[in-house]
Formats: sequence, C-alpha cells, structure tokens
Amino acid sequence: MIGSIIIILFFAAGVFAGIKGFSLDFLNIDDPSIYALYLLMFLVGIGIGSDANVWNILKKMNLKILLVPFAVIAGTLSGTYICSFFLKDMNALDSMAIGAGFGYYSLSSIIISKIRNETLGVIALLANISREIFTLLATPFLVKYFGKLAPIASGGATSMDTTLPVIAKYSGKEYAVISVFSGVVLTILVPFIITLIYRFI
Amino acid sequence: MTEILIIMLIGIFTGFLFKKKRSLINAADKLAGFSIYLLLFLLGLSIGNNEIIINNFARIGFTSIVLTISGITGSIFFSYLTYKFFFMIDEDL
Repeated sequence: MIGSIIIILFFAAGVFAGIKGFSLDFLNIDDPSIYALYLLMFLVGIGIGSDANVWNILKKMNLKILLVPFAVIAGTLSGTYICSFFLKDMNALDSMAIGAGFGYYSLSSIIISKIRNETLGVIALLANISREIFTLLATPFLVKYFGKLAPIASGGATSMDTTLPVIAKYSGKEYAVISVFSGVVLTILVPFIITLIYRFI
Repeated sequence: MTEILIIMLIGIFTGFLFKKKRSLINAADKLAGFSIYLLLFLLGLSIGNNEIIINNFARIGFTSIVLTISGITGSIFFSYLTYKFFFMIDEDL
C-alpha cells in the first residue's frame, strides 16, 4: 500500500511540474523515458527470473489452477471489448489493451503511453489503479456473492502481492496459493498481451 | 515494441543465472523501484505539459472507471463459472 502511494506521489509531482511549465525538451533527446522503460523491463525480468518462489509456483501448475488466470484474461478482455461499444472515444483495441494491464498499472500505463499516446497511458494508469483499490475494498463482498475465486479474478496481477493479504483472509489460505499463482502468470503476461493486442489483432 | 519483450526475456534469463547472488538481485530490485518512480514522474510530466489531457480530466477519469468496472465484471463472471464447475465440487484443493 505504501508503495502504491509513493508511486502515485511521483506521478502527481510530475503532473504538477508539467502544469507549472517544467519540461525536459532542453535535453534534446527524442524520448528520454524509452530508455528508462528498457531498463525497467530488464530489471523486471531479473526480478521474475531470480525469484525462486515464481519457479516453485509455476511447477505446481496444473490444468485446473491454470483455468484461473485464463478466466481472468478471457473475462477482462471480453468485458472491456463489449464496453468499448458504449464509450465513444475508445476503440476496441485500446479498451482491451488497457484491460490487459490486469491491475499492473505502473508497467501497463507506461507501455501503452509508448505504443499509443499519453492520454491512453493515463486512462490505463487510472483504470488499473482502480482495479487494485476496488479489490482491496470489495473482497469480503465478492467472496460472499461470487465465490472464493472472485477477489482473485478482480485483483488480476495484484493478487500475488498488494491484494494477497485480504484475499487470503476472506477466501482462505488454500486459495492464497491460487491467488499467487494467478497473479504471477498475469504479471508475466501483461507486457506480452498488450503488445500482442496491438500487433496481431 | 517487441524489443521490450525481448529485453524482459533477457532479464528473466539473467535473473535465473544470477539468482544465487542475492546482493546483485536486491540491487536490481531497488533500481527497478527507482525506475518506476522515474517513469511515472516522466509520464506525469508529459501529461502536465499536455493541455488536452488536463482540460478533459473528468472525462478521462470517467472512461477509466467504466473500463475498470467492465474488466472486473467480465473476470468475475468467468471466475464464477470456473469456481462453480471446477472448484466447488472438491473444496480440498
């Protein structure tokens, strides 16, 4: 939670500085943040590759557990696809790509702002932060009415870390393993699915 | 943007090779945190410079919330079916 607040503060500081007229144009680099993104992707990869937990969890993979992240992917993409018909300033691909952040707002907003534009980057940021916040608040209600997998689905990629404590509490410890598994799979897939949506569909 | 995927895969491979070197991994982790801060500051900066976004913020916020709700609704729908047909029958997973 603290981590999310710090991230939002940095974002807000940037917006504030930008409104006040500060810009990096004087650096004369076409797009300074693309190099920071390359660095981040490399470091995110190191984090995944070196995490013994990730490999252990993936070893436990069986068809049934694998259904959970796939249900999240199918559900999110079909939900955001249908929704794009009702939002007149949003096309189907952008809508699905924003959904494909699965709550991983830092990475998805940056990737989408690079592939498309900053407006969509901001929408990805807000839409995916709300996914985390909603899950934190609604988990007891979701478990009660939609079953123990519901908060895992709602949490998306965040079900491996930020929303895990509340999911473990309300869905039970045996679902915590599924929660981490689903979160890990979705976290790894976020950059792939976003890129694939724009490239092949 | 395929390059970001390739770069991440190289990272995963590197991380796997060096997973015993904890200090190196921890440093990478810290640096990843800082680069997220930097990137979101830069994203914020370009948004602050972009009058179209600033002037339409209410609409952008509304669109975001609608997307959140539709994504969550879709995933809960599918997860409910998964729960009902595959998990509820044997709760002792």
